[in-house]
Amino acid sequence: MEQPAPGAERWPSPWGKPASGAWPPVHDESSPTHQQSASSAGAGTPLALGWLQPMGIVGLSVFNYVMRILTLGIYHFWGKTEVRQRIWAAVRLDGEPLVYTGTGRELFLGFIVIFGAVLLPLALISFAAVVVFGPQSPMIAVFQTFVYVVFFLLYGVATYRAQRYRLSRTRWRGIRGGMNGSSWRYGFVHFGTGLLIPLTLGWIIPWRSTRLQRTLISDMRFGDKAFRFTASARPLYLRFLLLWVGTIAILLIAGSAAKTILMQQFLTFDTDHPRGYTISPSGAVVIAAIALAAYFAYAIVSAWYRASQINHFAAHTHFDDATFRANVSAGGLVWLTLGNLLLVLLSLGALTAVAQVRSARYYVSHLTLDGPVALGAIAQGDDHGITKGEGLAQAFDVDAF
Amino acid sequence: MSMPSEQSGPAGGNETARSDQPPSDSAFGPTFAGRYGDGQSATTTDVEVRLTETGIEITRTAPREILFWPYGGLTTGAPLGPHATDALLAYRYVPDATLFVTEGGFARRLRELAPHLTTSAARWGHARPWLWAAAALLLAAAGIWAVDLSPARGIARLIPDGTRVALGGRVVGSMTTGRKVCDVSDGRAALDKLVVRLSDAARGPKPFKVTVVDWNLVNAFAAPGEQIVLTRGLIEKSRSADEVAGVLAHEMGHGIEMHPEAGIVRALGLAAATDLVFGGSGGAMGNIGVLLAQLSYTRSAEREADQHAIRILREASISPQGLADFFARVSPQPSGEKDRPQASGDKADRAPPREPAKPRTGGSFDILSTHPQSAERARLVASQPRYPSTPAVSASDWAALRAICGPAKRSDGGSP
Repeated sequence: MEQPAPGAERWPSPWGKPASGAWPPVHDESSPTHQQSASSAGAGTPLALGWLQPMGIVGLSVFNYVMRILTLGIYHFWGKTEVRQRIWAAVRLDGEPLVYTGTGRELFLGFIVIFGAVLLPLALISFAAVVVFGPQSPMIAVFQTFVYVVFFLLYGVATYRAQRYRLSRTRWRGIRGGMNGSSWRYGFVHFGTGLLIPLTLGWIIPWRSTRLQRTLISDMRFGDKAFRFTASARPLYLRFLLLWVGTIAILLIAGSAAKTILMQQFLTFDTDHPRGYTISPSGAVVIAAIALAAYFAYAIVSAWYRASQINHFAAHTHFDDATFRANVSAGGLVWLTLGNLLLVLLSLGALTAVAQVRSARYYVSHLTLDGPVALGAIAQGDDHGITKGEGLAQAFDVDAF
Repeated sequence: MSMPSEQSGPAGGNETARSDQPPSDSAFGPTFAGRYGDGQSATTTDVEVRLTETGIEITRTAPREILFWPYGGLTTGAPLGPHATDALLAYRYVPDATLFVTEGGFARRLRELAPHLTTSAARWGHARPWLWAAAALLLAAAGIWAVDLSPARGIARLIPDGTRVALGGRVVGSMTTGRKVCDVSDGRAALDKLVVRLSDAARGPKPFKVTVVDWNLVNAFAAPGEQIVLTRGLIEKSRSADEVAGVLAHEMGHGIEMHPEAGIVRALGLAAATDLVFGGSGGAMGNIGVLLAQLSYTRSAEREADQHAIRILREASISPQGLADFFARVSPQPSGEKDRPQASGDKADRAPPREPAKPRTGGSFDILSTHPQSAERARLVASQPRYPSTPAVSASDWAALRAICGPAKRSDGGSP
């Protein structure tokens, strides 16, 4: 307000002469500030973060599903865009909605570029490799490893770029978000620390997620103002110890249970059979049940860890003088994931958008923003000239919404 | 959580100029309370909004100033559904500015005045071109299929020879893995004589290379790069060398027309299209190797191969009768126009039980599934003018050829 806004040259004043010049110029030089109702710069305003449940999501979800089939898949990008518009509009900050300004066309172009530049060449090369070396050749294994390495490296890049695209297409009160940083640097950190996971038996995970989250948050901008991330990994380690021990315990218990039950009931030694033993069909069902129970136990333990991580990260994410606060719970996460899984599976995918809105609702309504934000001091940020949507993320399916 | 009409809230300092005032009807319609942001800082200011016939009029109260946004240039944060309770508007020519109106009725009035902002307009506007495109694509595909104009053939012709041979080597390799290649020297010599005779007559770009596989299945396959695979079952099922010659000439026809290459191009293209539509990651194309061995041909491709076969046999002075005889005999009902093999009884009663299916060769895989239309073939052969012919190979060579996989096998010879 005190200082001229960056865009002031281009748009002298929104109250000024419009492009057509048809209406009376009401340019008012004498009143540099007309945001008289808003807080004065510097003082800061607390902002209420809320969720206004959108209407007609089931209809939208089914429409997108049907249209995606009828257009041979192409409508996917426009359907996804409308779902995002609804989710963004449901998020209310100080009573006003976020706006998603991305378009289906951008997502479509992003995907086409990635398909042509990454996926198609990789597929053609792997096809050529099979032709040249034969399907059993060790060269194929070498090549497959190469493909996995490339994908793993690109996964981090994709994650970063997806967030950057979405932020650059997010506005609140006309101010857009953004990311200032290098997606490749993030990709390499993601890749390098990922390689250390097996070497450290997983113990790098809390440090690694904190390190990655720091980049994702501190590169984030709203207008010209940066977010800050102050979390350290240390408070996560106690829970991680329990997760680690719990996971091993689950594996051991499930393994020995399966072994005992099988030995007693369902396993017959059969010297004629190439494996030397046979398993009765009901034995296979028992194994599946044990595996499912073990997975469920793991899901609960890991949700318990993940909930605390989300809350910890939120509590150390700051914008201006405000700090986020999340109260996500393990039960909530399990119920959210399980419910969404059932929604999507039972509807054969037709209710995917409903599940996505459900997720967004859960996270947003468990998040608050405490403390004042000096709104008047936030000016429009750079438009980084991103013209195409997250093709890479689309290809790897890293984005939730 | 529905938005209250007053806009004070926690924004602090918002002067709620008209919170308790109902929308007032002026000469041009009711006014609504709204919040306007110029997009230069994250603040908004209270305004009065009026819906006129051609656009919305935005009035700031103090100091009093008026903005006018015609309906045609408006965009919304999300399309306005029938149940919309609020509307966030932007104007194309003032990029960062926003107007947010929550007062009841505004969004619904706006839907009537600016129908392009509604959900249905937005959805159909985006979907319609792609629906047309999809319909046109399906129509074009149907047309291409109907007139049998395959773009895959054109692309197949562009593949360099070396690549075609390498590709064919893979296909042959996939059929010979886990099976013996029959190479008894006398039989091989006899086969080579026949192949040279037919290759010369075919006058194709290159001589053909024929591999015999120790396989009960009665079939012959054309592979890319002028390569052919014959099964032991087929040789044993043949009653004369002329029949083997007929089958070989037919497969050479496929090879000359590059049907195997076209089939692979088509499968690849389909896999790429599938990935594109379903947003895959190249997985379908990665598995293409499995498809290589499972190509079957269209009726017109079969007809083309038969035309070549007739020509090759004539040039080689071999009777075409063997071609017709062989297909007629393995066909379950020789007189009927049968395109699909019914669990071919003729085979079942004499042929030994099939060896356990190799994973690569799932499904019906006998010669009739890949080479239908034996009745049409018989008519074609019958319609040929007679010409002087000699047996495809000598009697002793025929005996050697029959033993190419080693001395006669137990009972599964299939020879009556």
